[in-house]
Amino acid sequence: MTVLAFRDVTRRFPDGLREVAVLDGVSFELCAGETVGVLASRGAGKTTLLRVAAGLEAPDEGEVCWHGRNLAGLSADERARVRRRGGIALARGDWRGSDAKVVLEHVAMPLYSEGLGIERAKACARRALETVQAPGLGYLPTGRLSLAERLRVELARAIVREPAVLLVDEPAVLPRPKEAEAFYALVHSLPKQLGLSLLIASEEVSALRGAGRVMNLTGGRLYSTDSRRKVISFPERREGRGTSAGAP
Amino acid sequence: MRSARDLLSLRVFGLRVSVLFGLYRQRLKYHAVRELLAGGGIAVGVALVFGVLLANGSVLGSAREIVHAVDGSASLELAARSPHGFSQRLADQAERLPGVQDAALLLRENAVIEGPRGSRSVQLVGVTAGLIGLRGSATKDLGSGALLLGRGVGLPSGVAESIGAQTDGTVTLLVGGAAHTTRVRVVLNAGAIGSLSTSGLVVARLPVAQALAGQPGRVTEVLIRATPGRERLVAGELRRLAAGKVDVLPADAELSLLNETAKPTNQSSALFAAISLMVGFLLALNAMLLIVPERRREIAEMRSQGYDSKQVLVVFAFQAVALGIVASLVGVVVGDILARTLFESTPIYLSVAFPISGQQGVHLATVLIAVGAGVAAALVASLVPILIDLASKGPVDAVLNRGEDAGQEISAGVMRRLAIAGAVVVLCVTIAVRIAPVLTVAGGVALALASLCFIPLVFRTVTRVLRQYARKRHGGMLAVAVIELDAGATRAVALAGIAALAVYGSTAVDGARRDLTHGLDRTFAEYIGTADIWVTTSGNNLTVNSFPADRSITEVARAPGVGSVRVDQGEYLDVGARRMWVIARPRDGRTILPAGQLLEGSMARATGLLRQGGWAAVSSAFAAEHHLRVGDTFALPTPAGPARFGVAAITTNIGWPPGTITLNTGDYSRYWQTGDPAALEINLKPGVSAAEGKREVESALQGRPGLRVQTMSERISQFQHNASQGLHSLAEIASLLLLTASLALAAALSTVIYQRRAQFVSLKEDGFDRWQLCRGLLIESVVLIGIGCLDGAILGLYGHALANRYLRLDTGFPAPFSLGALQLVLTLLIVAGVSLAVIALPGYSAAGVPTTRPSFRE
Amino acid sequence: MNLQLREVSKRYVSAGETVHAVDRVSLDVAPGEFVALYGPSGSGKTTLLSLAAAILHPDEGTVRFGGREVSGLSPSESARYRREQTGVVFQSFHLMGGASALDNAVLKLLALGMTFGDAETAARPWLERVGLGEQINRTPGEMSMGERQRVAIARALANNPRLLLADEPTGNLDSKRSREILGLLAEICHDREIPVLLATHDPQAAAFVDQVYTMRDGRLSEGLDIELQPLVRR
Repeated sequence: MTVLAFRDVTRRFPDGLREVAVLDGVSFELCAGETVGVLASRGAGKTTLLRVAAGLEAPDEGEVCWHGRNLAGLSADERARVRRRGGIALARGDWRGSDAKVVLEHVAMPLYSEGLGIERAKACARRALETVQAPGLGYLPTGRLSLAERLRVELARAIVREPAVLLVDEPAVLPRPKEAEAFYALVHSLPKQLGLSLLIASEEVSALRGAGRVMNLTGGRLYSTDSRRKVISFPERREGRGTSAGAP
Repeated sequence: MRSARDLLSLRVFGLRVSVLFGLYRQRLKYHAVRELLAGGGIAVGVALVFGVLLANGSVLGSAREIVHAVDGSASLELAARSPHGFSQRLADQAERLPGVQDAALLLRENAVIEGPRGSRSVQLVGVTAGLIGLRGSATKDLGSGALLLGRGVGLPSGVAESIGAQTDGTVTLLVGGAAHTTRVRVVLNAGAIGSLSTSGLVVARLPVAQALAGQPGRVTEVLIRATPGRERLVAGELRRLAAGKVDVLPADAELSLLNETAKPTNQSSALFAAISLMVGFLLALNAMLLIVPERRREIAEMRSQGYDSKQVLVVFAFQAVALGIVASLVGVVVGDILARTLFESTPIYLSVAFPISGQQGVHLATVLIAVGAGVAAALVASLVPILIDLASKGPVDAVLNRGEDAGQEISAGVMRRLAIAGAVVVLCVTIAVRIAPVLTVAGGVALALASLCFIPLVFRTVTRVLRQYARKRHGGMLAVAVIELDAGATRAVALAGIAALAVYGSTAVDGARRDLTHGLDRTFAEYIGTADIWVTTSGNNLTVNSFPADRSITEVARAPGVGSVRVDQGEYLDVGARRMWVIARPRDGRTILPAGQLLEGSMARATGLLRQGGWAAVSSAFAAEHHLRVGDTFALPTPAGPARFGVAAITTNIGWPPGTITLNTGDYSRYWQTGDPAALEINLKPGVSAAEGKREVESALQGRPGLRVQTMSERISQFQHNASQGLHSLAEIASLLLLTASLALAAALSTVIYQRRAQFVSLKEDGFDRWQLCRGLLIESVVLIGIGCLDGAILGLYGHALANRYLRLDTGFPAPFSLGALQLVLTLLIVAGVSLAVIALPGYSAAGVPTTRPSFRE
Repeated sequence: MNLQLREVSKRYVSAGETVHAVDRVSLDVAPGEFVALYGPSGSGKTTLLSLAAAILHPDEGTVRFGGREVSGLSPSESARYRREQTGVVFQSFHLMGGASALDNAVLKLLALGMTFGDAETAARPWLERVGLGEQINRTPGEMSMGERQRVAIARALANNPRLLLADEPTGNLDSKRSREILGLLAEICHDREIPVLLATHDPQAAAFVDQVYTMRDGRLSEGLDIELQPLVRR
């Protein structure tokens, strides 16, 4: 069953006097329980893709359908409600909460909008921290977190809402391979553990290992690749003199 | 208990109330300093507003309470036109008129009471049992008390405490130039007479009071309750009975008289209250502006997590209201303390003419106004930036991807519109004040707003000029400071606004106050300078209480050092809403009118007419009210009935707010039917020193302890003291405003500087060292404060000029305009000095931020 | 004047663990030499540039520029070194939010005590060189990331530095702009005979530089790492 679908989505940003299409007619579908990876180099538009998917910004053209409903046709407030429990949650890679606040307060915050009381919200937040294998962080000030811990906390902030779709903007900032591998493994364990669909975007190939499908975002266009092939092939560059970068 | 839990689990737009509290607790935990800064700003504003309202309200409020407490259900009164009152027979006739249900006879006489531990001015009030029938809150329980009084007096507990008198002790009453020792029969506390317990009264049975005052068979007031529905009939009958010699007035006429008298103080205080509120609002706004970037990020976070805009609004509105309420309550407490300690509550000049009490209970309405203003300030300051964000159509979390300083630029259009608005306000104020001078106070508030409108333009102009200067002559940190200022324009403008308001308020109101003080000082010097020695009744401040003329005058004249003795007379006379000061001066005096007080007419001609009789000099406000020019005639309601006078000249009010009427003693004796002096003016023979003369006069007056002998300089300084005491609270409010604004400005500046540490790291990584940053900060702060001071000073001077014009032309005060350049410089130095001194440390420490990894990597 | 790093190490303590951000690195960049540092995020490239700019001081080893040791300078001396000798393009741009592009570009020159006018005259051509001649009055808030990046580049070049350090200067630019900027850096490097050290992810950079190094876990190695090779064509 398709939960989230992009149909010819275009998103443009002004760049000086001209406009650049960061997303240029992007279409894809995400099915229930599925994991899809998006490989994109820096500045290629993966963050924009995920933000449009989360309803944080509306596309200039095209439709983003959530269970058949076009998010672009909803008001900002209605879209906000889609981000509550059972909806779409985005884990931003560059999240930086207010440094002094303790982690639990950050993680519990999303639940209040659904009318939960403080105690229940905090209990849910504790469970979410356990799920991301960071149970000891609850009372640590956010400013004292390491990079890897910060990523996990951000993940907890997303799954605490028990989303049907989890969007992960993977920033590829973890310096040590071991840490990065552990984090990727954690992210990819979530669909099974929590019964959600996962859309993860990264510039690191290894972050996408475990995805059922991998797509490539280049020059505002999304190219599908087949995950059953061992090697990920890069699409032809749209610019330049037509040199094709194939697999070594 | 249960209901509290129900309330907490209540949902507002889907958010639990308990969560709102919880989120606010978080905020307090993590942003205590900023909350404190914002709350402090609001509290300062509210404290000043509340203090001013309270100090002001207490004078009028206490008078109102006293009047109602005494008058009870009385609706009419017969009021004498002089302290000699009218015959008790007239009062008895009034009491027996058809339609009169109750009547109470009163005799009021100014007196000084001396007890074991001190003395004070009081009003001796003789009462009859009829007062109880009126059921005033203070008098309804007096029934048994009045009977208890016997031949002694009753004292309110406030008076008893201040002079150390006790029940059955003895006190001395100085009335009409005579001293009487009498017994205190009862001390009346709040339980017995309510708010009257703090007022300056001495109560006695009417016959006793008449004897003490030396006025047997006379009363000054009859309070009357008419049978419902027959008030107009009774009033007509009373008027017939009064035959134009006694006033028939509404029972609370005293209040409008007091209103008129206290007007200058009240208006200037109202102006201060408004300016204080604006300063408080700006302080709060500033504190809020400091957290705008962070708050916008918070909003973006919340919205991207599923909060809708109503929920966001509820969360922040709740926090603003909580902050506003707490801060305002703190402000109310501080304001109450200010009102009780710093702002002396009763000006002496008012207590001379009206029986008003020292202190006053806090009214709920006043508290509500102050708290409401504080909460509104907090709401506006914190919600406006949020609403802008919520209303924007862009991505809900756009701010997360943008720089810190977004929203700092002020567009040229906004700047121009604000400046034009400011100019329009100044123009409107100028026109309005010309047409209707009463609007001066409202105009003063509008000018304060205008001063804020001009700041962006002044700011832009100054930075442009500095930029040009830096382009050609001097670069370095001056240029960096200019760039920084331009980059943080909104912040800078808000900060400069605080300085501008403080300087504006202090320059305008304190300038007017100084003019007035100087003017009054000069007036008194002129008025009192006509004699070397003055003899008056004790506790007499204006020349209004007379004493029996007996042998004392001849005795004084016979003293070896005395050259001449002249008799001055005088009294208050209620004309319409004005309690006028009637000054009667001897024909043979050197001067009748003080030279500097003449506004219209020629001195020589006026003096001649006044000596001749049938002519009077009137003060300008009175003349304007009755459309009088020099040469016109007018009718004065004297105790002998209406009397016609010609206007010999128009003068200032000689320091008495409602106004003065000057005539010669011959006319006065005729219409007031008394030859008793209110003062003796004594000139000494050449070569006799003032001290010697005073000793001689004192010994000639032996046996008259109710009289006071003062040299000219003693009397002048007493007058000046009274005048400046009345205006003192204004000076205090002005300095307090200045000081708190400077401190708050410094606190806000320090926070801004501290918040910019991340940027200092950038600059350091670009090669700036600590001292360069410090220099840049110093230049920035000086420019910013300078802009505020300049703007505030210019509009402040204009406000000062308008206020001065109002004082002179419309209230008729003697108040020559003086620029007060020294004072202005001092004001600017205080603002600049205090704020720069305070920010030095945070500035130095912030500039020393190390270039270490975390901030470098973002 | 050449840049010389000898056995330089820098460690951080993060969440109780010691991280070797730069681990015994030695590197020479000669005048007129354009050097690129490749490596994944967090491999220590930024730290290495900070050491060269005397923003950070090494725990061990020495950093010399033109024979003078800069690793032990006092805060004010290192500030002076930065403003007089170096031009740094920071990854996070270091732009002042509300200030115009021109104001941002002249800031560093003002630290040298230039008049505002002279500083503007010096900075304006550089803004034109990076293609922002028309937009000097816009503030960073009104600019795209790419434009902001170019302001940061103009600012680094405006003081005619004797050492140029650039941290991901093309990270937010499209490939055409990237090539222009890389070409500009190469030109400055060769014409002025100054050492230029570039930390980058950009596959195109390799075509412009004289020498390539790879950083991984704080260690520096010559040439391209095997994992990076598919991404970078020389």
